[in-house]
Amino acid sequence: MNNALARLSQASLRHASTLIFLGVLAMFSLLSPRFLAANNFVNILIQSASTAIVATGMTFVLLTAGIDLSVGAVMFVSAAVAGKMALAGQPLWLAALVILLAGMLYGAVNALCVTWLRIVPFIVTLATLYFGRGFGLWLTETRAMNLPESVLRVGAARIAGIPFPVLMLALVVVAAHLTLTRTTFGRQVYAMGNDADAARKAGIRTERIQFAVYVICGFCAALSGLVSVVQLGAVSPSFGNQREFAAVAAAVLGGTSLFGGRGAVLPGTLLGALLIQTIENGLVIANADPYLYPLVMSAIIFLAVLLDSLRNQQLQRSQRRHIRPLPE
Amino acid sequence: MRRGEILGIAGLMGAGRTELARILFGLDPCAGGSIALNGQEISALTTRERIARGLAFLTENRREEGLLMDAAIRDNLALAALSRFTSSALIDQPRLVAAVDQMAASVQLRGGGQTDQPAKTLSGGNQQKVVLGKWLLQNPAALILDEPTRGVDVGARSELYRIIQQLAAKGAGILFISSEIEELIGVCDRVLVMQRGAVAACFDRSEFDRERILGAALPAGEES
Repeated sequence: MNNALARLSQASLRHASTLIFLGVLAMFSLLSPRFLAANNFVNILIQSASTAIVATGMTFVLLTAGIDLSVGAVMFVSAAVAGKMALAGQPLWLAALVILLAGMLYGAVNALCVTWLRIVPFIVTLATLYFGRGFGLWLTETRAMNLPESVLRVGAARIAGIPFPVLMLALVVVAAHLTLTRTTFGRQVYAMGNDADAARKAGIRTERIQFAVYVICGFCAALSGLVSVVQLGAVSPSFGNQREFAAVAAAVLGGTSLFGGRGAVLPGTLLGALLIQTIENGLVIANADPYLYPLVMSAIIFLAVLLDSLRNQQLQRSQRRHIRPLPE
Repeated sequence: MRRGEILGIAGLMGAGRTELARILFGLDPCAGGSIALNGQEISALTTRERIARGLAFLTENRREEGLLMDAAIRDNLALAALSRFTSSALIDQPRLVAAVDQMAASVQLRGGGQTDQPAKTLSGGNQQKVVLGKWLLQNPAALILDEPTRGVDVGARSELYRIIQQLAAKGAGILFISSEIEELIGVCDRVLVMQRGAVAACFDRSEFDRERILGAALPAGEES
């Protein structure tokens, strides 16, 4: 009996984020019947695309026990550049190409500081965060840019019936999942996050892995900025502000450890991003007081992290080694 | 060191045995001299390139340097050999798992073949078997063992010796560093004795003698 109870609590802890997700869904469904409508779920998916994409890149970095605080700034810079180019009459595909390359370059700068200059990721990316925001403000002259209709049309476009942001989201998440679980590189990312020293002694080029994850993260941040800008059709000076925290929160809600080596994009990070967006969406539909949003959000993030900590403790307890009497 | 030979390195603490191993594996720079593997000069290569040429190194400190304690046994075993199981871009999962589980069986890993459990759940001896298995999957040409039996129980020790001897019989050269002279006498074909960073003596199997090895390990003038 005791055993069954322990197993039940273990299972519920392991799927904590899924359970919270279901709980949130149930709560909002009770609060508002409109929440349950099918097209609202499509809305949630579309709205969460940007966060989920940037959180996917963040997951790579977190898995190596690093962090990238500059993603929000990268989103801003890439949206600003794309906006400028669109206003100058350049085709959108060219703008997309330029900002994706710029995002990777940004990630490469972060990576060089971390691997070559050996500065702590937290500090490096904090510095590049301020640089990015400053650069973006200079570029936009601190004015909001309203982009031409053609940009918004891309955001609303459907390819084979799938909305553009959702398609991007699916591509990124599936590619990331395959990379992490089915390639040598992915395994090496986990190995490095687990124990960089042991990984190095097994012949893994840890610097290269580290370099790659920041480049991936920069790429995802730029793509996320693009997906966001085609949905909003405008770039304001606060674009992408504090998105780094939403990205980290989504990854951690999905079970990714801040200390590296543990976590997954699918379902983990995707679920985390969906959870955050669902709460926001639900609060809007339930006509909640806007001042309440951050409070509810913080409570749920706190709950998720608390569950993660409980899960860790229990995992450790279950892995304690016992002396078992031999069966007679 | 010859093919198929188990070469022991004896010496006191601080005689430079671990330093020798780290230099051979390319972890620390070499002050002078050259290192060759299969007749090829490898002194200038990185650790990674040396691994690719068939060098393997079992550190004396498996907890901190050899194993990913939180990762599954299976992932630990697969770590060094991953690229060999990658066709085009993706890992050939079934083939990898089969090879890894077969390796787990051939090193007689305890725990009922549950290779998805984290490595830290294993006992010292079984952890050491995982590290050894990780390198065996690479079919190493030369294997450096630094205190492989430290913290390993008697039963697992004899299994480790057996695995090492099998590997030598297949033609790999093995460098066996140990502080236990009985162990060296029992396993090795030849024993080098190091003292203060240099080789002080060399004994063939026929000349093995506990007293003489110990005598060579002690600094001159301090013999009792």
